[in-house]
Amino acid sequence: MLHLPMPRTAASALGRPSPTRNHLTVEPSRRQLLVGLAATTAGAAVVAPLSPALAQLQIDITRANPQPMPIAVLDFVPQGNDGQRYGRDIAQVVAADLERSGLFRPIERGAWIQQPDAVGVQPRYSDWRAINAQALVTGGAGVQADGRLRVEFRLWDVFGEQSIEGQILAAHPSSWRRIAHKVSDLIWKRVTGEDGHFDTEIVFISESGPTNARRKRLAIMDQDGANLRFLLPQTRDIMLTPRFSPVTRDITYMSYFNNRPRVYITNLDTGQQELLGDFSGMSFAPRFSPDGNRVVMSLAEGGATTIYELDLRSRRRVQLTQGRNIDTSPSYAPDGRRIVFNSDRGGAPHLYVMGADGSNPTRISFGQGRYSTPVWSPRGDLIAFTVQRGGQFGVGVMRPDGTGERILSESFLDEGPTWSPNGRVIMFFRQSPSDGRGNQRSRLMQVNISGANLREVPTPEDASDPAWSPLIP
Amino acid sequence: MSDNPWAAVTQSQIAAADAAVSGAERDAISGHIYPCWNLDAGAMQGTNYRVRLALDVTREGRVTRATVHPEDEARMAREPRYRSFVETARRAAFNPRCSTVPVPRAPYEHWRTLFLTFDPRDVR
Amino acid sequence: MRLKLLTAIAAATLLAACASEPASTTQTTGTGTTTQTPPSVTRSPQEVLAAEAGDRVFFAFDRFALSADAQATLRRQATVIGRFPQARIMIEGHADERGTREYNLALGERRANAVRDFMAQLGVPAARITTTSFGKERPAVVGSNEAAWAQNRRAVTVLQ
Repeated sequence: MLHLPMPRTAASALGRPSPTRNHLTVEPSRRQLLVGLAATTAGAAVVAPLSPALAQLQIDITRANPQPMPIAVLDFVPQGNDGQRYGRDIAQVVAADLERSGLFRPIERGAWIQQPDAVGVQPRYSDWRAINAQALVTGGAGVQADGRLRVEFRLWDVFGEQSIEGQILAAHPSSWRRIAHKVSDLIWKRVTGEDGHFDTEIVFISESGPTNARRKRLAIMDQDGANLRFLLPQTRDIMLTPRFSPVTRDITYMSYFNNRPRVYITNLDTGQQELLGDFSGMSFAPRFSPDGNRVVMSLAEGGATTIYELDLRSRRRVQLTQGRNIDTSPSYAPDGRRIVFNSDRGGAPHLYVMGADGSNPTRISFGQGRYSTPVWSPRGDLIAFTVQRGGQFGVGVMRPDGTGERILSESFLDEGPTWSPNGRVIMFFRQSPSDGRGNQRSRLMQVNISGANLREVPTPEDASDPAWSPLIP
Repeated sequence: MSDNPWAAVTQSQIAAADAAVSGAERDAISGHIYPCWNLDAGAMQGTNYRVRLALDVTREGRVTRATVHPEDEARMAREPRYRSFVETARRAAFNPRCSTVPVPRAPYEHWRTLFLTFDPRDVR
Repeated sequence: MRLKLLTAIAAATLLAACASEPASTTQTTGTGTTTQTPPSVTRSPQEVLAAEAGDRVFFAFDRFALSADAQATLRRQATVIGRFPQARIMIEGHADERGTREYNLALGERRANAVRDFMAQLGVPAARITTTSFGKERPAVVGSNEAAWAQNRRAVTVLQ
């Protein structure tokens, strides 16, 4: 049993949970308790007071082993009603999150020497070292008298022999998966020093039907594929390129109005949708500014496609690019000062960066092939893009000055990267070539920015155009 | 941490170690430790992180203590991402699979503290 | 030279595709030589256009210039359109699957616009013509090969 004195949660102070957006509270548990217990063997066994060395043997370690970290995520022990079920389910979601990230390798329960209910106040570290676990996650879960699900967890450093993270979370039981994702995010943050990406959603296009009469619906799901739902009644047959607002629960996307592409905005909570901007031509390729107050998009009219910015408050529009080119797929830098976009002004489509006011457009992609769909990383350090080269499509990244290009994926058609909010993972869609019977599969894929851990993101129907949400507050 | 193994290091000490321990012996130690350094290349994106660790080892080569260079330790307190990086190096040093290093033939006094620099320049 | 060859291949494969397409497909296709409608039935303007002029023109990869064949088709279309002065004209631009969605929407608009400009030169009132683009979203022919792609890089004239 995990019995540590924990402070009361402040959850009840946050008001009644709503069915759509449950409140979820997180607070640190008392880590001080364990300070005195830290490290008795391998971690810091002090042999003797150190006197100056006679010689200084200097060695550089320049290589590393990009293996995921072995971690044991134990079932959370019951601490309240339904504790058994929630404890096990939450641990499973956490383990799956960590595994999917490519940074962790959960050790399966068959290998555990010490069992979860025997861990108690602190783990028997030697048992975990013996199976090569570098970290250990323990916890407790259960529904309390106030009807809220309370979950506590600890992250243990097996070599250092100490608890390095511990929190209590509480929310309506229907939000149990969100609690699990928050636990994953806290573990990720403690281990990497960066924000996680687990308590997030993906909005995308769910596709069904034959290739030449494809039905495309706006859908949303949790980052791990759970809780899939369709966002709007199926009133139109083509919806494309949804994108999250970085600050509100709004999504902008493209659909057809009077047979022409137009940019829409819809609210996730109210379901209200609205045509954006009073444009006579086609409008498409929308994307929010980092402050959520503007949408930048393409307008096509008279054979030229240019980039406009629309202020959502004043509805004032500003033309940012000029000329007879195709300028499309604009994306803001996270500081809002620059925009990267796709243009054929130099011949084949390439990537350009300009000021957010349209000043000084400068080409940044110079590799072979055709570059498109640039998306600025939320961290600001990279731009992801689609590249078409030698009959294949791939997704890659480069620095905003165009240096350091790396291709992360390649296939018949890889397109449309989107960033996890921490800038560590890229999701995109992969379409297979048409088979003999005219069937063509389209799936969501994810890959780490190192190029490792390329894997499919399962969806019930075919899927395309993923867009990753910010971390849910 | 008041102990600072680096405090009294002199050029002559470095030269003494250089003379006593061969390049092959150094390579054997680094080659023994790096497989336990689990580092995600994505985590290194846009960084030039490196960390200096002083490892106290027994005569058998078993790591008993790791001390982070005071300058690097100060940076850990400022930068969570850097702290995480240092922790990956520390885990490598204490991983049971790698924490007994191949000992050099030189007298123990020459290598009872190993001054390692973890610098993943071959990973980036 | 190369462009012409492609167009010829396109026409040939189009016929093949038509023959194998299920009857329920509503998209009217043709080059003006294949469709045979019984004269007793009243044909819609769109059917007349498809039968007598061909309702679509084709483009080279990432291009919007009108080939000589395309111009000939559009001249025939303009003649047919002259017989239906009430009909509104929608030009739909399309692209093959070898480009990204957003770029292809722009490319389709360019193609539709090239057709509109040419028709205006032929005397079709520009005010009657609207243009749109479906990018790569509505391929006429399903297939991941050059023959299919050549068919899908098209602008279709729709009379309403």
